[in-house]
Order: sequence, then structure tokens, then C-alpha cells
Amino acid sequence: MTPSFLRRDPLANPEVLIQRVYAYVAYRIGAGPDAEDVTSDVFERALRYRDRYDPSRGEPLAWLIGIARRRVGGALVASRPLSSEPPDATASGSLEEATVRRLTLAQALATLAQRDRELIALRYGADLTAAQIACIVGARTNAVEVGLHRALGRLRAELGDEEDAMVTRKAVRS
Amino acid sequence: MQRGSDPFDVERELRSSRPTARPELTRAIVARIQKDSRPSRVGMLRFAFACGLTAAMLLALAGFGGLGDIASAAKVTASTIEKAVNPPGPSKGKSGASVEPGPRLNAPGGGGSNSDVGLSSSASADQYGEQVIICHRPPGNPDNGHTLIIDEAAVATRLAHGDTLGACE
Repeated sequence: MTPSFLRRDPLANPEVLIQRVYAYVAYRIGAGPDAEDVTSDVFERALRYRDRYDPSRGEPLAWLIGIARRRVGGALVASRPLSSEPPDATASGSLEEATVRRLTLAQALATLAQRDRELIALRYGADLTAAQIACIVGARTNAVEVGLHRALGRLRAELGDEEDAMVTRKAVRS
Repeated sequence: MQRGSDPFDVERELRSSRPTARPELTRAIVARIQKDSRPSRVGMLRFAFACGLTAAMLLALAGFGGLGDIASAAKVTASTIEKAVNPPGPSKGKSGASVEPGPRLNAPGGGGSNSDVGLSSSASADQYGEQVIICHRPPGNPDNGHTLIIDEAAVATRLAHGDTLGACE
């Protein structure tokens, strides 16, 4: 049996892992304090169970995302509506536009079904491949790709509605 | 969602708008991970302790002749294999005449036994060397001889002082 200190440490390069886990959590429940709490909790649990990490079953990120999925599930049960950081009041020009886009995206994401949001968070938040996602969710790679395609379609449709609403609001104000 | 010349590319937007953790959060988690690296050192100490304990047990075993036992068993095994591969006894030469085996390594008399080739007969002999029985005769009273078992290295000195090989009669 290999001593635990000779095994590969899943938390050897934590900075990148923290960013990926946070992005995943934020796409699931919204950026902000709740996402930070869940991210901290994920790493706390990872530290507690780091000896149980098995490299043959996947990369450290996939292992952490597995923990994060369970924590997000718990957070959603006791949840509030999808939260997001408020826009910067002093933002202007392109920064303002980027902020508006981010908020628009967050609002559109909030309207998606949990399954769609999960796939998008895994693909674009945690930056996992379809094959890695398939391992995590227990589905075929092809099914994940199709699911992602449909989720993006629904997100585009939602963003189209948001855009129409924004144009209407601007017209009413002017 | 199209904005005229500025199409809203959802995938690009999802990647570029990927939420990032605040540096304070990242630093806090990294510090927590580094603080928790102590169990690894404990594991290393445990491993070192296990290695030390094993070495101590081996030393203790050596003191009681256990290693000699192992060495003796290895030599006996080697001897058995040698006998099986190259059995002693007369063999035929090219001319068909019988050829006696030549003197073996370390064989004082040119014989073919295990002892002739320097093989020890016991584990203690492997561990401590050969022991020889002599009859010690005190210089002032040679009739009052008594039997001693001494190391073979000391035999020559003893013989020079008048002792004789073998037990006293």
C-alpha cells in the first residue's frame, strides 16, 4: 500500500482549481457571497478527504467538481433566488456594457432548468470537456454534447427575449 | 440575441464572463491548504519510524543468528542446485576412459564433500566461523589437560603452546 504522502496530492496547484470551482458554483447559484461560501466548503471537504482521492478515477478538478455538485445541490435546496453581484455604479463606456452583458447573461441563466444550468456550468464554468462531464454526470459523451447544444439554444432564446425587453425599456425611457 | 453588427456570441460570452473568485478568497483557501499540509509530514515521520523499526528488528535478528540461518539456507540451496546440475562422480573423457574430478575450490585434500568446498555445516558456523575442539595442556602440568572449543583462527597459536587437536582422553 502506498503511503498517503507519496500519493499524488489533488490540491498541489490550488489557485487554478479554486477559480474553476468558483466559476462552476457561480454559474450554478450566482456569483457572490453564497458562491464563495460553497467554494470554501468544497475545499474544506477536499482537505478532509484528500487521502481518498484516487487519480485513476479522474483529474483533481473532476473530483472537486463532484464535491461541488453535492454542495450546490444542498445550497439550492435551502436556496434563495439566483443572486448576482450588483453592477458597478461608476462603470462607464465599454465597462458598463460588459457589466450589463454579464448581468443579462446571469439573468438568462437563472431562467434555465437546473439540468441545463448544470451542463453550462460544467462546460463553461469549470471548463471541462464533454467527455469529462459525461464521467461526472454518468451519461454518454454524445448525450452531453446534445444536452449542451440544447441548453445553449434555450439560453440564446432567453437572451433574445431579454434583449427585446431591454430595447423596449430604453424606448419607454426615451 | 443579435445586436446588429455586434452579435451576442453566447459561448464566447459564457467564457469571457466566467466568474472569478476574489483574490482574498483565493488567498484564504490557499493558506488553509498550506496549513493542512502538516499531516503529510506526520505521514513521513510514521514511514521513517516504520523503516527504523524494521532496521532495529533486523539487527536484533542478526544478533541471534537469524541472518546466519538465512545465509546458511542460501548456501545449502546453492549447493543442492550445484549437485543436481553437476553431480559428483566419474565421467567419461573423449577417449572413453574414466576421468576423476579435479580438486575443488578451498578443498585441502582435493575431496568432493560440501565441507571441502568451504560450505559450513551449521548456521552458527556461518555466523561466527568454524569452531575447533582441542585439548589444552597447561605448561606446568601437561597431564591435567582439559577439552576446549575454540575459534579456528586461534588453533595455530594453541598448538604452538603444546595443545593438541581433539578432545582430551
